[in-house]
Amino acid sequence: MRTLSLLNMLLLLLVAGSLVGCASKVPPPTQKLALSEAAINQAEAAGAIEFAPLEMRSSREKLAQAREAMSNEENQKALNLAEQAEVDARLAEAKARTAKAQKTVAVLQESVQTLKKEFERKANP
Amino acid sequence: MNRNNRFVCSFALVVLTSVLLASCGPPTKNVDLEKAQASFAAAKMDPVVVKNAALGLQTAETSLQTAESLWKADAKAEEVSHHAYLSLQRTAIAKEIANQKVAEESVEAASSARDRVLLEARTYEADEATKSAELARRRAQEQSTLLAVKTVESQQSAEAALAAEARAKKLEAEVAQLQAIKSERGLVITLGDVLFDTGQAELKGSAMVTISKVANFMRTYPTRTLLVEGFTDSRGSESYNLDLSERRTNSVRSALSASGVDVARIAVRGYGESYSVASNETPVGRQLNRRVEVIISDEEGRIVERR
Repeated sequence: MRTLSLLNMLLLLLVAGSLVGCASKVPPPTQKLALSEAAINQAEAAGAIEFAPLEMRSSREKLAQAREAMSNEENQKALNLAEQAEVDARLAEAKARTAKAQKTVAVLQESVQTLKKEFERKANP
Repeated sequence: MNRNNRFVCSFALVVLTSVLLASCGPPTKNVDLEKAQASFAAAKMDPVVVKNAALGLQTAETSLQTAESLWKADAKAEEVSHHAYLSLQRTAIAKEIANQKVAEESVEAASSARDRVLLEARTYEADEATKSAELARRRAQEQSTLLAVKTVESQQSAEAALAAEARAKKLEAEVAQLQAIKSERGLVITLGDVLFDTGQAELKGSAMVTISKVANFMRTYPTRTLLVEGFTDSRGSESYNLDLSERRTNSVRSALSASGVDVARIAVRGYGESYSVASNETPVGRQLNRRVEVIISDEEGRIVERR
């Protein structure tokens, strides 16, 4: 009886453990939210509003939702949303930088062409 | 509790545990995870991304591994999808970073191409400037040569003008010596009748002074020619007078020829009583009419004939 009840106790513990594992306690992700906001600001400074408006909107919406979730004490949800807001902002920033660099390339190449034409016109009038 | 009961209880607990563990979700298909896996696999195959965004790929891979292990551990689909999403976005970021690097390399290439063209243009302009400076220098040299030539020429022409002036003065002096009168037809020297005996054609010796002066003048100005015209008064017959005037002009020509003037340069005309310059009614007038006029041509040998 004693050994049996020990086995039962172990099994009960395992049951309780699995239940706890499914709904672990998460602290409020305040820092993560601040990080996401910083990422958004950085993306905006890089011109993401102009060059990656979709990602920027998604990022801002997720940040707002994360705030709401945190105030409802849905911390896991808040953490996930904040993380997604951050990657969205980072993607927006990367897209903006790429677009800018590509724009610069186009402008430069055009000016090279113009210069070449002008030079040829001068050299062979 | 009997043995049977104990067994049932134990069995029931085992089943419950298994059911509870499985309740977190069986490993069913997760679309988000599959999407993230496909996207990451594609990025990993792209050499541009591998070369330029290794770190970005690594973070995407970490997220993907988290999603995969959660999925294997039968975590909530929501959690798996979340990490799959993170991986998907991080893969996209890695791709963007690679694109950015490529674009930045193009910026460098284009800007060095631009510098090259600018340098070429500047070199060309400098060459052109050198060329045009050389041209300007040559032109200036030509100008100064031209100026020197012109200076010499103007000096020469000034000298020529001086010489011409001197010649003109000399001519004037010589003309003055000849006691010639300037007329429309040229210089006219009148040999009065005192140089001829009455009714005779021979020149008196006193005429020789004038003749030699004219001969000297003709030697000095070899392009000039002479016209000798003879006139009489109205006494005597017309034919006699005409003959006399002709003879007198011929004797003047002979005298000039004897003094060295080529006869080809001397034309003669006898006009007799014609072209009187004064009245034949008075002795003074008649004396003025008896005369021989020697007309000196211009420098081209032209003499306007009487009409």
